Amino acid sequence: MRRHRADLLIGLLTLVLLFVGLIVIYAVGPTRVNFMNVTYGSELNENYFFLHQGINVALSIGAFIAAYKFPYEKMRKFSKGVLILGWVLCTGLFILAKAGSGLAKCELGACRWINLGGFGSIQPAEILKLGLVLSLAQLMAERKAAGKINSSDFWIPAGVMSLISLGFVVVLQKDLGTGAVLGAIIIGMMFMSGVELKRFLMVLGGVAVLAVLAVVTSPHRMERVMTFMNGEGSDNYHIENALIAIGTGGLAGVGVGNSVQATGYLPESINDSVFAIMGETFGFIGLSAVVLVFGGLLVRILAVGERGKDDEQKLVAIGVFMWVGAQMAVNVMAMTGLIPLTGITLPLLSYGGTSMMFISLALGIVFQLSCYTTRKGQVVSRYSNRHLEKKRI
Amino acid sequence: MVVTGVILMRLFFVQIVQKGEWVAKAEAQHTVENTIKARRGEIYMMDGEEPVQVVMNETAYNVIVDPMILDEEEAKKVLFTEGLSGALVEGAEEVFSDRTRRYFILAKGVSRDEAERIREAGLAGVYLREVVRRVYPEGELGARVLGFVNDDGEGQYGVEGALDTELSGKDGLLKTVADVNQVALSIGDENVKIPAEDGKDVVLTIDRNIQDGVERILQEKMTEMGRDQASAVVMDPRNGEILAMANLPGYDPANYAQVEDAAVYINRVTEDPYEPASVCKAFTFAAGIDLGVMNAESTYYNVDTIYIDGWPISNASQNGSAVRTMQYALNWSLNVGSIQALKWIGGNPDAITEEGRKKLYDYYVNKFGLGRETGIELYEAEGLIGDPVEGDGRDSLYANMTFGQNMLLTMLQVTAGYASLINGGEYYTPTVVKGEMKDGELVERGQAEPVRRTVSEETSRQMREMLWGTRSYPRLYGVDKAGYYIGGKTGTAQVIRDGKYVMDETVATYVGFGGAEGEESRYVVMVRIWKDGTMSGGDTYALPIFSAISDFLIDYMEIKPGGV
Amino acid sequence: MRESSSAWVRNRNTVRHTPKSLGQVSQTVILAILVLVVGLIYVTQGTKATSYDYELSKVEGEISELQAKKEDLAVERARLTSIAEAKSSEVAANMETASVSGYAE
Repeated sequence: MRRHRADLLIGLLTLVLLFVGLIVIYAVGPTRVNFMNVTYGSELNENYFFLHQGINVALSIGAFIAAYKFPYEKMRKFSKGVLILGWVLCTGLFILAKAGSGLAKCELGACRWINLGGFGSIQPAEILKLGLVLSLAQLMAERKAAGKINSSDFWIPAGVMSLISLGFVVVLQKDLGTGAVLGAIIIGMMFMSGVELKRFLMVLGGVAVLAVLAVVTSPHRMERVMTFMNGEGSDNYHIENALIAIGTGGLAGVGVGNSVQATGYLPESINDSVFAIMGETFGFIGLSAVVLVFGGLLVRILAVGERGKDDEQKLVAIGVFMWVGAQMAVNVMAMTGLIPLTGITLPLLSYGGTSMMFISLALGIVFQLSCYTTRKGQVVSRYSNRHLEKKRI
Repeated sequence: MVVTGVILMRLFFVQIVQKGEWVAKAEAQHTVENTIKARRGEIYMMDGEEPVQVVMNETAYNVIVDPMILDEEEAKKVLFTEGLSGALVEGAEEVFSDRTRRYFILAKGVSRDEAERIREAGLAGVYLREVVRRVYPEGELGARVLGFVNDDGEGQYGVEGALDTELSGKDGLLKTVADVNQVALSIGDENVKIPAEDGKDVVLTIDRNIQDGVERILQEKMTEMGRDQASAVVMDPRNGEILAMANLPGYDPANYAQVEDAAVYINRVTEDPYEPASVCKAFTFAAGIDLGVMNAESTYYNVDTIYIDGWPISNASQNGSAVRTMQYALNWSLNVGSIQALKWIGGNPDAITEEGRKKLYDYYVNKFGLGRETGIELYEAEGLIGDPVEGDGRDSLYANMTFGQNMLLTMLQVTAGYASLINGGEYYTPTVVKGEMKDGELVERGQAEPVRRTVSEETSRQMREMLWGTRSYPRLYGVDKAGYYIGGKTGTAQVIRDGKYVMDETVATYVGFGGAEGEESRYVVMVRIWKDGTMSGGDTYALPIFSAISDFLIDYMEIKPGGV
Repeated sequence: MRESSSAWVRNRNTVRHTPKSLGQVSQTVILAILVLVVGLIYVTQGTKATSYDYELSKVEGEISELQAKKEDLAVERARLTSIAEAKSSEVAANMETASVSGYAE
């Protein structure tokens, strides 16, 4: 298979999103700093968040380039390793949290981060996502090639991988949001892997039952869902204020530096809620642009999924597609009051290192894989045409 | 793709269709509207030439607790301490008896230091609310003329009440977008800040040393004489400035609510008209002299009792029937003598006439300003003077009025009138306001101008002599130090109770003036002392108090003796 | 790195066939950076930092704190120079009562 030029749109849109995030943090960061200094008596520099985000963006671009350069054929050998590393870190985190160690960073009883001292913190679930995408893709492709995709040779290891990963995230870390993204990744990849529809539907049904169980068995989650239905409680304060921010933005937004919701009304204004603050600042036009950029990026990733060199590479791209897509959709839909709040970041835009870096890494891999796409897929794809693309750029 | 579409539609719905609704919610959430409290003006008295603060502001704190979340153990450690004991409200211990309450004012007027200590303890369910309260560095001094400020920040009684508008200033308004901690933000173009106009710092003409001296003397004499009510006013006859206005018993304005009887809030000098009695003879005589119908040497045939409208009127001093001079009548305070003056004024030496009544009324009301508000900056009562024509028994009414009975006057009316009698005949509106403090400097009001002439200069000169003569008449005590020209007149008033004069109670009054011999008078002082159910004579009760005040003033004002 | 450079070697053909491709990569990067720069400039133009508001609020807080302290001191001063205080002071106790006779010279 001959290598050709990568799909530059993937790189461009990734960079654009990273930069937009950086710009937004530049605009809203000082407000956040002021609020924190006043409320918590901290003495952060006005550009604290901007500088940190700058470092995060630089690291993310580094991760993107590294993933692009490091040949997939070598990388795939580490797939299981990454997944197992994710499991190990999750286990470690769980033990640290149980031991009450300061290395486990907890919020509201949910321990999802490992403290790295001066280097911030990392979220093992992100590693888990990457590991799962790579490993599942490999497993699916191998079994498919062997014609065993519908046998227990595939189902058992795939089921084990998925359930262990979900178990860590949903049960131990109480992180239903990330669980939903993982679920979306698994289902999406499953759907494209060529399993029988009957079995796929069974999996889908099984996941749905598990999801309901996860909600019903946890009073904390039950409460969240109930408050979402009833429209009260702190989550609803969060959603209500996200909607106030977005709604106030109107068509063109209130303009940079005029966001009032960022002055403490909207929780997590530069993290999980950054979409809402962008809505307030840049309005419908700004948000539509961001959503469309995401859409464009996703379409390009999907194109790799359709026209990839082989099944494995296609499935990796589908996994990343589901990852970015689900995470974006879950975050944005929560912010716009369409689904309950889950507490996950907006890919590439939210302030915070781990998520941004791992998604960049995943996109870097897809970027590399886009060098090996075939023309066969052209028939399927209405959205992409390499000739048109050249002219466009 | 479907998801992206849903999101875009949702965004369109929220941002375009529903925009107004969210903007309204945002405004409701972001806008704070606060009044900016105007600082209440302070009150100064004079200390010689220097203004000094006698009513000031202090920031204090009310401690409000939420019993539902307040921890009993911690609260006892932090809130029920020695330092706070004075500020705790009555029944503060009961705070834990009902835990369903969310709001309980536990302590009031906590000092800043104590408030800081409470804040640092960081108890949940404890809130400090800033309040500005009045403080009184001079304690009870002048309480009844100063008044107080109630819990709602309204001035009550005295200067605080009467000058409330000037003192309170005008509250401002802050309407602004604010962050979640209510910090005002310069976002949006509808922010409004109307700054408060602070109240004026009022400087009184009252000299705190004179006020203190007069109150001290009143207190001493009251104790000595076994009387329980006394008032005095000191006025500068050269410009109408009130130098002291004392009413005893006083009260502590910082704890104004703790008085037993709200009557102590009343400033008797301006708000409590009474019958000042014989001190008014000076007004009658001055009218007579001014009209040219009599002088100190004019004589009449004095009897102990005369009948007017069938009512007997007797002299307090039964000196027997004889020809007497008017100076003698004043010296012995003979009522028949002052009635004679009214007869002369009316043009008939043998009877009271309508013309006489009208003329006396004109002098009393229109010239001396009796029975009507003087125009001082304080609350004041009008008093009552009967019409000279309308009504029955006008002759007997006016006969009584010649010696200050059957009419109601405030001490201030009498004092201001007297001042005009002895200062050359010019009436100054009495005033307690010297000016205001601006940037630490006293800005005085313009020079006081006399508002009218009451009597001629010559009449005034004669009245000074007559009053000096009466005071110097060696009947009782009338000896003052050499080199000073001091005159005055006693009054012993019968009291009406339930519409009738009672025989077991009189009120003692004295009005006098003083200064160096051969120079203009520096002060007019009026004293009133009494006790319910006792007889207090002007000569034995009020006169000695005047003498003590007069001596004090000569010392304090450093008036050097003249005419030596 | 050797792996990647070998991939690059393999790729050189592609590069030759499309001479402008390097330029397109650069263009992409430049475009992205342009977005960043223009975005930052736009944002800088618009940033009315609420910092001043917080600074103002802080300063106002300090002013009112100082004002309150000043008032406290003024009250303390007035108390110390009050008549009651003067009377109870030692200096006052040792003073002789002034009398009119002092002027008779």
